[in-house]
Amino acid sequence: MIEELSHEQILRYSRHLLMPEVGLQGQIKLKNSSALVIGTGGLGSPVALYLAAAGIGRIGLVDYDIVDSSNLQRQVIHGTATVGKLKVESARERLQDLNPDIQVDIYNEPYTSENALRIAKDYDILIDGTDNFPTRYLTNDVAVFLGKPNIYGSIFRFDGQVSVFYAKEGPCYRCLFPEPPPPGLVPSCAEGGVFGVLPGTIGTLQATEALKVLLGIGEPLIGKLLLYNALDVTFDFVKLKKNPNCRVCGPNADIKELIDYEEFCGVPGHHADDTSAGANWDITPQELQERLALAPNLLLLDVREPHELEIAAIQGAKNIPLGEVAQRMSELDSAEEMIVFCKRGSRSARAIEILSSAGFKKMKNLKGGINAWAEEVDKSLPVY
Amino acid sequence: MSESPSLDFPFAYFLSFVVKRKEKTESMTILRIPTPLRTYTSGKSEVAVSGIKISEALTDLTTQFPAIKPHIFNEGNELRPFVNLFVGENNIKDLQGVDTPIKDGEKIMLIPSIAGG
Repeated sequence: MIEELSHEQILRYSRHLLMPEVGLQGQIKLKNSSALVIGTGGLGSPVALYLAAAGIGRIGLVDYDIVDSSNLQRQVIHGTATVGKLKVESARERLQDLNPDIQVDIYNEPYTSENALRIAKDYDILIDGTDNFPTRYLTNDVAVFLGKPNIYGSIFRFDGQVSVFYAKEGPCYRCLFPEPPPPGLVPSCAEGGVFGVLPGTIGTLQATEALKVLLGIGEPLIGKLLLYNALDVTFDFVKLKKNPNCRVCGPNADIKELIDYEEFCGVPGHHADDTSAGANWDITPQELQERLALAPNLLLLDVREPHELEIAAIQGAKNIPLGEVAQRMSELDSAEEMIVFCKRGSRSARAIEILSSAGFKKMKNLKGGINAWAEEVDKSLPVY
Repeated sequence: MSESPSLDFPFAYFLSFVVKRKEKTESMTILRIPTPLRTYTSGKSEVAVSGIKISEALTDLTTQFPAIKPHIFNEGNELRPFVNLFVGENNIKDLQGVDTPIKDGEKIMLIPSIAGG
């Protein structure tokens, strides 16, 4: 049933109605459309806010996380008052305040191969606001299998990418990235950091593309990839073509159903930052404290970047940033035992892999990194 | 190892002439390095490389910055599948791969897989 607009809605959307590209018919179209926002983090925040403000009739939000104060530097849909709440509930509250006319459906669960098709099938477009490779490949494949546009956005530090992957009319995400990078090559935002306003820029571009696709106006970013660098203020466009060998949308596609994306990417999709080097390598903060009491000269190898040492440091630790471990391992003695640590445990796990393949055996990975050490042992240190 | 020219402002304008002049004789091309790989190029966002086709430009890059090599090439010296190289607006996979010629003034961009959100 096509819904009309009430007088209140005509006033609310009057700036849209004034433009011939949207107009009354366009606004009714938006009211009758739906969008699934996967992830309510840095990208999902501006996307959901602008889609709600624009009057998309039904918005779905998928997230399983809880609002943390370290989110607020960029995740503007949440607030100090909702720290500790479910992200989907915090986001829904904000959206309903912004626009009580719309319906907000929430899915407080990880987006996985088991539930993704069921969740996504009733939405017109899917918006990729995820923060890890497994969920990005899953989001792509779901969009291809359901024949829906995937409004893609991705960020790292000062770099952002935007595209509309729509296999019916152009390439999909896998056409460009047939395989994920090896685990550990690209740090997550939790490890590598992100300029807080960057997801605002990229998420707003995603919202723009979503609205254009739903309205059927302008030139959507189908078959094009936008690359933005905030430091250099560069916007570059490159052309993307359908890959004839694409395993999900090519003529000889061999992936016909959702797969195990964590296995495909070699990394966990959820709580990806809590990676460890494997139970055999782990040492807990308490165990390390006990070891240090007996052996105060135990070598501690800090593989974080030098500027992170200003935030928090363990006295006496030797600093070799992860990127330099391979070149500087001659500074280390493989006969001497060492405890490797970083912020949360994933870079140190990678360092252990590198050192282990070079023959180092006597190593332990501080589980949870210096943050866990700060929480459990040395409370004078901040958690970041 | 030869020191490649930095394109940091305010020398960029001056160097653009140097690079242009070099293009005529040595085919110097600018190769843009994405943030995740800048750890391996001493933080440089752009590297001037020489070569008349992509393979030569990449050889020059990995000669200047050997640490980047394993991130671009696999053990068999083939481009890794997750590495996307664009010359101008086009993916070299849609052209002639590493044999794609580089035209005067065209930039090469390494486009990374990033996943943050």
